[in-house]
Amino acid sequence: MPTVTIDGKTFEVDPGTTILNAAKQGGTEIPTFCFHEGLSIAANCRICLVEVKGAPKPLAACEVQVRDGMEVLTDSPVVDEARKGVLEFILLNHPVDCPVCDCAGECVLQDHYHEHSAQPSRINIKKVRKGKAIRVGPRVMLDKERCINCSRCVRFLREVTGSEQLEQVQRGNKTEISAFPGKKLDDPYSLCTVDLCPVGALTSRDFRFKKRVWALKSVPSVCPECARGCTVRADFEKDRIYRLVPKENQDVNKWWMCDEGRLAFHRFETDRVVHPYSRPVGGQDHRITVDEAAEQAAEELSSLVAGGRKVSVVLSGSCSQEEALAGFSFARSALDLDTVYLGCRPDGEKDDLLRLADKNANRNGIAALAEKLGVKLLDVAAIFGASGEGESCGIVSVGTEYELPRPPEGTRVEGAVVLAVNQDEAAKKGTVIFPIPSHYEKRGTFVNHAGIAQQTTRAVARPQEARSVHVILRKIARNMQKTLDYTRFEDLNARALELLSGAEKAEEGAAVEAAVTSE
Amino acid sequence: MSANNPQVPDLATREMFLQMGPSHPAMHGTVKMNLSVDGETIKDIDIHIGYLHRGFEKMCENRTYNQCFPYADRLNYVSPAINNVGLALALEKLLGIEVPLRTQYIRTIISEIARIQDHLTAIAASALELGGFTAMLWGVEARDHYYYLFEELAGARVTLSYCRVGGVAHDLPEGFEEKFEECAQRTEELQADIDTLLTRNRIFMDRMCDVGAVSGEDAIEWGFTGPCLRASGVPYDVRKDHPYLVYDKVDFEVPVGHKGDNFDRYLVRMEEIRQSISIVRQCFKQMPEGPVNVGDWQVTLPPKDEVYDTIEGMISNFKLVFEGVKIPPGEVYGYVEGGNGEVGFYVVADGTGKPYRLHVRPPCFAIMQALADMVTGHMIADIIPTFDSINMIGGEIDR
Repeated sequence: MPTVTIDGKTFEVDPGTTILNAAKQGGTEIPTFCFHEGLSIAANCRICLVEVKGAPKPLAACEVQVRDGMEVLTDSPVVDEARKGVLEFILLNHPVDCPVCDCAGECVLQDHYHEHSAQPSRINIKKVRKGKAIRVGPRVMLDKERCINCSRCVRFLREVTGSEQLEQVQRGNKTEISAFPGKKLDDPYSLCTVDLCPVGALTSRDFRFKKRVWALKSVPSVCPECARGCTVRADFEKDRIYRLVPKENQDVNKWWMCDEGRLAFHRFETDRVVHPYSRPVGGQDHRITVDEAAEQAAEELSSLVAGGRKVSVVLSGSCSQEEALAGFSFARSALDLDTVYLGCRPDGEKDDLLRLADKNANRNGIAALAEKLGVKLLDVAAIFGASGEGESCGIVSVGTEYELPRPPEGTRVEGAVVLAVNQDEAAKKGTVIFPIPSHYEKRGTFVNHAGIAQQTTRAVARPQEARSVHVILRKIARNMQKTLDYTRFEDLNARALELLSGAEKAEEGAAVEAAVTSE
Repeated sequence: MSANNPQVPDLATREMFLQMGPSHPAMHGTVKMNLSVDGETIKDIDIHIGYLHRGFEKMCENRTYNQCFPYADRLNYVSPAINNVGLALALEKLLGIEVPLRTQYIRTIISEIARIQDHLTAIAASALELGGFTAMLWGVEARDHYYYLFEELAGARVTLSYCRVGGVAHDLPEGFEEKFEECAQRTEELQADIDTLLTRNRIFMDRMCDVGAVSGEDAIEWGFTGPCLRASGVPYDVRKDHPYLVYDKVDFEVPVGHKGDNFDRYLVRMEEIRQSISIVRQCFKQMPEGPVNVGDWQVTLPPKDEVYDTIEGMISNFKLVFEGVKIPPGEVYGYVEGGNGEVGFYVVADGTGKPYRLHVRPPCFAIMQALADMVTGHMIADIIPTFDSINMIGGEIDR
């Protein structure tokens, strides 16, 4: 084990550790632009130069591995001078764009310059002009002037996705990032280059000019778009989500996230169910209050049950563990059922990096819950299988986003109590429809395809008349003179975590130890 | 027998409870006094403060350091410039920087002008509430000249917000010294008039002498500072005992009283006005040319042409405006001689651009606690000159 002395602090590190990582272990941050843990080392930005005793010149800390007995200074006059030089050099051709640059406020170049240099410019020459506002791909905008040529985006597309859609062209101060002639940056992970870009050279066309970053607040969340459940940070202001940014989670998504998941939050912005309404068979929609809706739902369900009709509960694959638990509780206590149906989104595109064909946020978790609770979980395709010819039946749908199969000839859905986020096909089949909070408007636990549970935090406010699933189901049950086995969200949350056997209560947004086995 | 006049035979009296304030013509600064009186004699007094609490300290925790200056102005709003200077000095002490010499002179000058304003106000208010309306008009006229002067300096008449971490907003305007001289001469004339009208005035002396007296020891026990402490005979002045800025480079006297009564406090303030004018005159003589800010872009905003035309200036301006001056973790107590005594700023920094905690030691808080002792046993009417002479400022005491 080599012993290294960094800023007078001597400690041992693993062989092969770079100076940068050794310094981090010793509690010293060395500034970087081009270095990224998930990419190869380029050592082209030179901001991480440090002084090493015995070396003739400052060395790049990101690249040089420690030798036994190495003495490193990260804050000496030599290092200071080197950093100032590098920053002066980088800023020579940097445009005065901060006021109109989306990156201002989270720009690494701003941070490093202000912290490590803050010197006036010593040279007054014309800056080299390059292309601005280039639509380099369907989701990414490129500003070549702002680029500091760290090559992170190039390395990402070469090493992580393999699409190699960006390249550095030209030489010297004319070096710039470019897509190949006639080609676009349309990699399914193209927006990761925006995260990687330390400056505002690559910006998201979706987020661009929507909101200044310092106005945003963030909460940890989980992407609900496929069974991977990427750990994300939801950036929001007031009642609107502005963007999702992947958070590092080595067990789930490393540092990355697909464009599809990243932009899918927009689906909760339009076409929402905003108030409860009833839609009698063959009649007109009319708006009612939550309590009226609960009464009506209870009436419909009770009369179906009293008439000996079959009433089924369908859970959406995007329900959280808590919502699923409430659904199970309702099925058992209010309707005396031991079979529950699971409605899932159809399989979609997949690849070897993150995207999975299973587009449901919590299918695995709901299946595991059903198993633990001894509830039979069947696919929604089988929902009409048991009904006899010509019978009518009822449905309670917790969440939607699935396709309800066509009822067999003669079978009629007479009562459909639907708890829906969006006005989708399933919601349109409802007779009583309740609005529920979208993924970013609620707390919840989600279990991904590998059995890793994560919790989301509420980011934005729900529509005024939307209620949580557990509240709505409890209201309906009360009107049916039934009692459910929970009172508050916390009960469900505690039970959800308890059922992930051996798991500690998770920090919000953090992964709960993998406890549910993946089949 | 009546407590104050043995000649008057006993009348059937009983203890009565009176509420004075919070909105009372003599309660400038909104305080409430619950009096228990026997006839006109005060038996007990219970003072309620807090009517002007605005959460200054908490508000500062959500502002960058430079954004705290306007709040500091509103502490002692009779001498706002001193609070400005005090906060700047505390922050610079924590940051470990010293501002250029010219800035130190400028800060001394505005501090002393603020002291003149403060004392003129205190004296004018005392006279007014004892019926001396003329003296009040003279005092306020003199003060107004300095408001015009400050308006020229900072754009605002009262709350200057002129100091910054690492310097001041900009240099003195052209002709500032001459204009000050005009103000000072007019002040001297008006002060001489006030002196003639009040200092040997029988009515004024009757109301002021031997009322609200505090001994030197008591004053120290209570935590008095400033003119009220000096009136009690203790020659403590932060400017002399712990010199800051350029107070060790100028020549001035610290006036002290003997009895510590209202009249002594009046006399001390009168003399301090003269001393302050002399300090400002000396400062103008000694003041060198030079920059008014530390040139470090991590502390001071870059000049505007650098901000608009170079990326370097742009970035520093951006970071300073949005994130504030990054002050390394630590805590500091910075203190200056304010209009009422020692104004202290206790700042805890956590390395960000905003204070983790900011607490103010308001001098009149310590003085106000003695008011009950000072007036108990005296007449109701004695509350007025006593309350005036300690010059309680609501903004400072309630924060």
